[in-house]
Amino acid sequence: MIVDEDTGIYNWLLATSRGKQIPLFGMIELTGQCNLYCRHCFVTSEERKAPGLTTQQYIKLLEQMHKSGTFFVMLSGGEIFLRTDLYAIIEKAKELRLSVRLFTNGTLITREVAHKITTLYPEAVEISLYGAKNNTHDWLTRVPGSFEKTVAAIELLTERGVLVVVKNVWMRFNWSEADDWLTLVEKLGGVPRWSANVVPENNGGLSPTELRLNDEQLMELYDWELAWKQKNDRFKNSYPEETCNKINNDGNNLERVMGCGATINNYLIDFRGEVMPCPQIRLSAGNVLNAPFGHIWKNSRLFNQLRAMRDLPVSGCQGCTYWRHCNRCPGLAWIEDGGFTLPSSWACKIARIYSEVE
Amino acid sequence: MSTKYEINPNCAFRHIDGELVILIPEKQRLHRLKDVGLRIWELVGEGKTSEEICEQIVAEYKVERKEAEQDVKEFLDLLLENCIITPNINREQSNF
Repeated sequence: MIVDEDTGIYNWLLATSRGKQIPLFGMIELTGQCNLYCRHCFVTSEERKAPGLTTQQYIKLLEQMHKSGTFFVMLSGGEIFLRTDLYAIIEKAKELRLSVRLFTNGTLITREVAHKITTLYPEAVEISLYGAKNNTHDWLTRVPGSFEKTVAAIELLTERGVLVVVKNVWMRFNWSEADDWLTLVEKLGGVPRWSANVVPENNGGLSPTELRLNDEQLMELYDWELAWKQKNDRFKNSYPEETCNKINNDGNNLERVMGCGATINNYLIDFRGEVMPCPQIRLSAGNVLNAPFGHIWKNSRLFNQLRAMRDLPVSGCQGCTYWRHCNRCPGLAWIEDGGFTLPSSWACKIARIYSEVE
Repeated sequence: MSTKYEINPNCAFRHIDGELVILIPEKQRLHRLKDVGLRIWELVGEGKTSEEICEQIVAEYKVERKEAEQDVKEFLDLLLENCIITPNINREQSNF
């Protein structure tokens, strides 16, 4: 969904779900397994072995999610098209009238698969493309030929009218291709979306973060984004900018501890059935194999603790002059900086650089 | 001729806080229905013809028949235009 004229409805949805703590947005990791080996991936080698739950378990889970108030379902992995029962899971979600987004690397989307996807009417398919050249993308995925397959998948879907969000993470090695990447995505008919947030591994391992943009590249990114947004007004509010539903802190510089939607209207269910606040905060509130999702959402001690600290000011952010450019993630603050209540050093760095460039 | 419609089988929807949010994948659009609009949408879902919907609205909202006919027609046209409902061609019925 492209939210331009629909912004009012979307904002109402966000406000209502936040106010009533409706778990509107749910991401399910259907498998830890993947056919690519991306250098920046946050899934650990141990997690890559996890096959996910059974078809019947997912069908039951979707029913519970629907009963609890979920509307937007994101199916993620690992690589979701490795599951032979993927269509059955999507069909169940559609039967429940849920809106479905598919997160994939696209390499398994053949002509037949593209046709099948079209008949399932997903809200969008989100495909990761990490560069404008095959050797750049394939270097990151460590699978020769993956670029060609991913590009072909984007084309197969867009020519059938499916909304394809083409995602990228800007890193040291692919930043020089930014303009060419944008040209390619637009030529393929996709909607471009990017981030500079390379996140640590789920076990806290920091090796992926070595790929992050350096200071000079972050400065260039600021100018590049600004120029692009000025030319492409209608995408300013493209949903979801991130799945985090960050509450804008315009008008004050009191950064909230949990400024995002995690545990408020967002959640994640990992490939073992563990209910978690989000993909960054890998702490379990309970397992859907042991208790219904709705029970965990309402009664989890972890979720209620995080909700209780939601509006507290972040210690160390008071008086910060860079807050206008702050996009602090409590998950990153927890993994990289030692606590939910602390500033995120990565967000601080970006905010400082953006403020200096502005 | 009284026409039957059906809810777009591809759309996603859910009730939230007494209102209905609908997402039309083909159009990439979000819609929000409440009050009489929501009631008309429900009656479409129950398989009522446009005439039956009109009768029901007259009965439930105590409005003039002529006014209801006009309003229901306009609203159904709007739902059609936005792909929220589709004509159920096989179930069109004649009044005569």
